[in-house]
Amino acid sequence: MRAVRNLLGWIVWALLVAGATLAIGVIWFPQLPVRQPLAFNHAKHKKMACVVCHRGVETGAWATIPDMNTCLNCHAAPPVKDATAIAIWSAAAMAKHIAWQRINRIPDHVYFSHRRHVDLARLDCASCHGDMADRTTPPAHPLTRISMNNCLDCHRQQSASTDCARCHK
Amino acid sequence: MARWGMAIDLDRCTGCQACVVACKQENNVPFSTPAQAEKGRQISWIYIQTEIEGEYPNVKVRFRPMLCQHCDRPPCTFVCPTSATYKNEEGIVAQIYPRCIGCRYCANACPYSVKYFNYDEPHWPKQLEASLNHDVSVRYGGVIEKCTFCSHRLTKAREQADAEGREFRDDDYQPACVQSCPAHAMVFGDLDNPHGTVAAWSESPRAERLLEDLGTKPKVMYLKGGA
Repeated sequence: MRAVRNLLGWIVWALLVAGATLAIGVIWFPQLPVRQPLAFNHAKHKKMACVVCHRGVETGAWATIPDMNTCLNCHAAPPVKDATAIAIWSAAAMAKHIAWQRINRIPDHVYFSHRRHVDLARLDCASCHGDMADRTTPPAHPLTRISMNNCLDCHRQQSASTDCARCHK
Repeated sequence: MARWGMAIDLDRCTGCQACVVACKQENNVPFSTPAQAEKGRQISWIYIQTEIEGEYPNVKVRFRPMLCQHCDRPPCTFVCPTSATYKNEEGIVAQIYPRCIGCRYCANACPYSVKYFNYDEPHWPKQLEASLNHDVSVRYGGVIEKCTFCSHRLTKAREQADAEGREFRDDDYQPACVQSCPAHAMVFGDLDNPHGTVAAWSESPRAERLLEDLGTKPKVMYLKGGA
């Protein structure tokens, strides 16, 4: 009987620990790690402005993730030396599509306009996206944590509106 | 700062329901099912109320579009325990869904009965899911929802004006209902702009505010009794 009670006690403890770990994991890493189909090197493309590939940032609410044609605008000719690069180029050029995975997400009830922040307020992309430009491999998680408090801090500093309905839809 | 308001000429309104359809489409308001209707749980941020005047054979029917009156003293905001509903600096009574705990105090406090509780999760036929408006959230079950004067359009219109490098004008922004009215029975704009149509209409001797004696100071004016 005592052995059964001990076993039950261990099970309860194990469940509590598992629950706590899960809760901490959800709080710190609210989304699962993202794996990109290509080991894209942002640092190598640093000389270009972000908007060359992430089009739409200056003209609309949404930023875009580049399609294959955007890459081929510069990489029209296949690489000749690096075997890995040749393999990647061939596979991507054949597929005509790269299944990039979205990494930054805002909740459905938030309206966020890239044009308002990037084009009109002249905010640096790194303010929200972190130091993506120096990344040599795609991150599995967003480099910065975008929270309402961060938004509000910045809005207060810049004397932008803090009216809830301006951002919550 | 503008003070947004609306004026509706009931003598022009034909009750065609174009505003109702436009509102549902613009704001992702789901269709109500017969079961919901039976329980009085339809959601329609704007609906046409029919009012019968006179007696047979001199009977007249008037159609009154009913929507949130965006009161200057909104009773709903005074009772909200979480500040999910509040009047912003431009006079729009907003509803912030993630803050709403669904207590329904506001719906009970509203003398116009134009705040709606979401009893069920929203549902659309599959074919219509592609037509949802991404500028407006899809409200989940258990929250109150209401007309916002299409304030998402205001945000976008203001951004567009800034992008074009010009001053924001009153006529840059119209709610979907006003835009869709084929009889031009609805006008919308800044009530504090003395040159605007809505200010002129609201000062007409034909203008009335609903339940004005409650002291809610609604910003939707109804005009009737014209020739």
